Amino acid sequence: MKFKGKRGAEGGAFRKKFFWKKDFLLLFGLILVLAVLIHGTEIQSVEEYYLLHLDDVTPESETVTLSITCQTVFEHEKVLDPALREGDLLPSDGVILPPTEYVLREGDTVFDILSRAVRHEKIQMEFQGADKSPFGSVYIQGIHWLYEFSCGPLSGWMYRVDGEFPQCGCSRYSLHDGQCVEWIYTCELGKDIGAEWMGGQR
Amino acid sequence: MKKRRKLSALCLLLAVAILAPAGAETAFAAERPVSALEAAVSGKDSFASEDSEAEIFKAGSSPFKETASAPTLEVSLTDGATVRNDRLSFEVTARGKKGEKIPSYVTLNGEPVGSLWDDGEKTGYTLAFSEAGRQTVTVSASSEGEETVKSFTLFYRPAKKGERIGTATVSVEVFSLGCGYLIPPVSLPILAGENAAQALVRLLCEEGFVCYFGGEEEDGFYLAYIADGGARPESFNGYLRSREPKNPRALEISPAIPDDLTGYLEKSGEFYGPDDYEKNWQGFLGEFVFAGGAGWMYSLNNRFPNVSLSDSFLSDGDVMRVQFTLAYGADIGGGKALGTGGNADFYPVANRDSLTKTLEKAMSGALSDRGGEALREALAVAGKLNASQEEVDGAERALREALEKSGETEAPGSGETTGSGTSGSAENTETGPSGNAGNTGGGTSGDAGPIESAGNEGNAWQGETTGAFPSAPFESQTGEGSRPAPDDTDAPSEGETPSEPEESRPGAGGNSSEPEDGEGELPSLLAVARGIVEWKKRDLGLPPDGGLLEGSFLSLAGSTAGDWYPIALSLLGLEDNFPAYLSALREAVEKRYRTPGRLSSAKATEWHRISLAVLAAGGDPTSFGRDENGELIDLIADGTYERGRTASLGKQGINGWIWGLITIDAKGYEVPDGAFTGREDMIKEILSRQLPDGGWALSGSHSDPDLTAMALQALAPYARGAESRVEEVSEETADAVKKAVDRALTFLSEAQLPTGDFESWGTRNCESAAQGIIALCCLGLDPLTDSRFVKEGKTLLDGLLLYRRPDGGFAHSYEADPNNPGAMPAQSDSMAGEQALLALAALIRRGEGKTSLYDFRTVGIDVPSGTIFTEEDRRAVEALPDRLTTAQYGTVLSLLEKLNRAANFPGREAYLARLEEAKAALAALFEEIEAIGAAIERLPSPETLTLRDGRAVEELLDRVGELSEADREKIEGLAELMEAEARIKSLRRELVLGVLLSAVFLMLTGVLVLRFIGRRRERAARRGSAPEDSENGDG
Repeated sequence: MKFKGKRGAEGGAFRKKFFWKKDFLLLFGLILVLAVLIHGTEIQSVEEYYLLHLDDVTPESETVTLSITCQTVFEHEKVLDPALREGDLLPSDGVILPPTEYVLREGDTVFDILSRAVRHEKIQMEFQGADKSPFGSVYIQGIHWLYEFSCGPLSGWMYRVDGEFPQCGCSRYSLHDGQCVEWIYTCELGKDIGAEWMGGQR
Repeated sequence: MKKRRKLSALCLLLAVAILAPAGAETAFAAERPVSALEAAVSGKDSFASEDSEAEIFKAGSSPFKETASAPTLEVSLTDGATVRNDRLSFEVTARGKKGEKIPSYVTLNGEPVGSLWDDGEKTGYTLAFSEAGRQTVTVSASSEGEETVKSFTLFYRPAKKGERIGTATVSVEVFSLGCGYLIPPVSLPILAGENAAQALVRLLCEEGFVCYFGGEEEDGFYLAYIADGGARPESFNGYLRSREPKNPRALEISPAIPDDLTGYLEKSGEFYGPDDYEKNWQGFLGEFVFAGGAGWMYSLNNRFPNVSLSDSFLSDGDVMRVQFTLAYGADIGGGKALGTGGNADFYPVANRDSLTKTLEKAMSGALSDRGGEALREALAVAGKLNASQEEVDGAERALREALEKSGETEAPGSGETTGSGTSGSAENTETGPSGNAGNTGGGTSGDAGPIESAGNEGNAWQGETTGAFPSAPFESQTGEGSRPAPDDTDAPSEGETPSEPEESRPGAGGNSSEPEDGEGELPSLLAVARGIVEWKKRDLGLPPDGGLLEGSFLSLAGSTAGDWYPIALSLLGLEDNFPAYLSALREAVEKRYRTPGRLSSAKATEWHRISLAVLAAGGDPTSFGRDENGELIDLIADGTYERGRTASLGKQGINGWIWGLITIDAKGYEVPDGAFTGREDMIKEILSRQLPDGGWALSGSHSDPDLTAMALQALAPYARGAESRVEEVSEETADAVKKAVDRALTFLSEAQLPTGDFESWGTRNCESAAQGIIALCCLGLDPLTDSRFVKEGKTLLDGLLLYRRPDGGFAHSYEADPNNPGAMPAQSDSMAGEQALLALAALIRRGEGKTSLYDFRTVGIDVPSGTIFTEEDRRAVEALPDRLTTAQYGTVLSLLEKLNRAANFPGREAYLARLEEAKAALAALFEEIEAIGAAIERLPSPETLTLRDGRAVEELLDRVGELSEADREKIEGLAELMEAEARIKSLRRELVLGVLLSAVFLMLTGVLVLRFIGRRRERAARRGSAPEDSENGDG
């Protein structure tokens, strides 16, 4: 009995010690699982990660800034397409897309950035593909239901890169890091937005 | 062999129908007015009385008194005959009192019928029946106040296309080589709608041979060679091969030209020796084999028709014998047959038609052994060219008797053959030697002149309509045929003859502007134009030997990048696949009309450009396809005079007015009363926008040469003297136009640079020069000499050619823009090319005295009436994969278009069905690509995607998977779908992992809790019992 008792007492201590260790392990596991659950279980392959985070702006990524505006229509409301005049289809401040930074992918043209941006922001856009346009470049017909000639015979979309109006189609203009692209609606063939070369001025 | 391909009268003889123009016909029409028929005095015709029971003897003169002096008429028609084909060819031999050939005149149901071919002997006509039932044909000729009129009544019982309407006996004979029959007489079913050429090609194919032919089966067919069934080359000496037979048979002949014939041939000096075939032609028998006068001819009911096989139509009971001649027909009884000069027959040639028919019966049925001898004898006699009529008839009789004994010939059959009673051949049996009954002897040599000149005319005409074939063989062939001097073979090979007037352009010192022209000689305008077309084809990756309006170009129909090219091609008179473009255009227009707002509600010029393209391609823009309500689309009304009901023509600015006016004047369309906008309104709108400096501009106060030139083009019809529409507007408007044009010309002249071109939008460019040229041409001014537009010796054309690139295309500009790295200065550009092409068209049309550019009143597209759906085309259809891609759109469309125009052939239905199916599948494919794009756009952005979108994404991926690689590229936002897929996958993984980890978490928690409870119990138990009872705690 004694032996047994002694052994029993010893065993109890051992057991106690062992038990606590086991509990600790369990607890540790528990916390770990909890931590993972809280942090999220998103596990992705490299390609997937790349695909899904291609357009995430990070300090290293090359970017361009894009904006889309149509303030000029408010100076020509008389000739604005009635369908656009009614309701509040057009933003009251004329800003369809405020200056937003987008990641520049290799070989991106002005058109590539615009088309990614409008799809991302769910902005309506219609264009004529490069193959169907005689300029051999994409031609932007309308953005946000505002089309060429929607606001008079001299109206349409133009773009400016770093303050200059390039003379080539938007799908022919390749961008580089840090450039600023502005899509601006003109009602006077560029005159109202400072495009000097247009408008027959010589 | 080449030296032999010299002038050959045979070429003329056989190609005669290919070339047959209507030149003679118009002459006769003029000589013999319609009304004269009523006053006709007729005479007894001694020659063809068997033909016609229904001769009309009109009162006024006694026909019998003057039998000898009245004109005679011989007509190869049978009165009272029933006709099943919708066309019927026949010949008229009309002679005056002295036996000379005189013009004849034919009417069908009172309508004049033009002659198909006319020569020194006879005149060929083709009747085309439109309504079933009784047809009245009158044939008349008058000479020295006497007139003979014959009238025939025919009954036309229409048959369904391809329906069997009788049988003809057809044979292919090589008697002249002593080889007997190549194809012994067979009974060939006649199919409605099929001409003799098609029937022959069908027979050859069934028999295992192929032929090489010029022209087309439907039109101007010329049988050049019959060849080995296994002959591989697609073309031989410039002739195309007919379809491949299922069971090819070798052309096994051992020529042994009869001695007496050799004698004649040697005298002719065009004999190449008895072993020519073995040496040079193995497997090919046709023109120039053995002799300059060698080739294939055919007789129909023992006449040698003077029309092509494709203009002959077989009737039930006809005998058609295709025969190889060595001497322009003189060896086979057809020496004078075509009346085209050449030789008289070497010897009398007996009529073998009855023998041919009997042979057919003998050889198709089982002839008893006893008949074998008769058959051998008959074949021998048939093959002996100079066998007398008695010999032939004797052999025929013997064979028929043998057949009767064998019990093979039924009574009616023999009755038919005895009297050589088939209608057409009747009259000839008496005259003995062949069909050239009334030879007048004269005119043999005299014929050559007119025929050749007719042939010349025909060449041009043929060249215009054989677009489906490579043009070179025709040029060389017709060139030979039409040149009197045998040595002159290379003369017509340039193929540029129509452009000759333009080649002499003023020097104007433009040599420096020619980048690739080393010799300093400027290429002709047409060559420059062709260069642009070639460049464009290369640019689009189209095969160089085809046209531009093919394949991928067709998907541009209805777009700015597409339409101007066909407009320019048509105005240039260049051949291309206009029917296919028209069909693609119709598809595009219908699609846009059915999709609300797609035919740009803002741009009227879309309608204008498309309307011009429709006109250019030979269509009618006032009823072009159907809208969503099934109504005919009137592009002219919707785009011009009624345009204002939806949006002002000028919504897009001055362009809308200018092109609206050009469009409505393109074919002189009537503006209906009460229309929204009239011509004068458009003119006034344009005039009101003229700037103080004399020109026009999109905006601002400074005119633009480009737009000024376009405005001039629109105003031109109201300003120039000739072809003026000035009466259509009020006097004051006309005055205003005149003044405006003068001011605008002054502006343009001042704007022209010393280099000849213009600057527009701050850039010297190609297009402004092009528009300037067009404007001057439209105004009737000569851009090359008008002193206002020659600056320091440079003309607008010099200015335009500055932009021509070594690759044949035109550049927009040479000025590079530093801000503009992607723009391509000094590179060929599509818009520059199309406008240069239009300018060249304007110059060429001016040079040729044609209507000015955009005036389509006289521009017609010659859509070849018959087209062959070639072996290659068939293979192209067969090669279409089950899963089509959008890249095949153009191919399918042009094949379908071609097949729709092609004559019937066995299996056509299957090809048609396959192509229709392919077209529908492609339409569905285009829709699917659009639908997928739209569905992707409807997906939430990747960040907001949830697992619920998983199914939608998967469905889309499946749909994308169905498409070909290239078509996937066409989907808008495909990258987004890929992103969405990655997102969904990631979300799913997240979910699974989350569930798993949660389960583990719960398990661990459970275990921990249980243990905790267990320990508490233990402790409680320990506290409750004695320490010595410790073993209890073990339990």
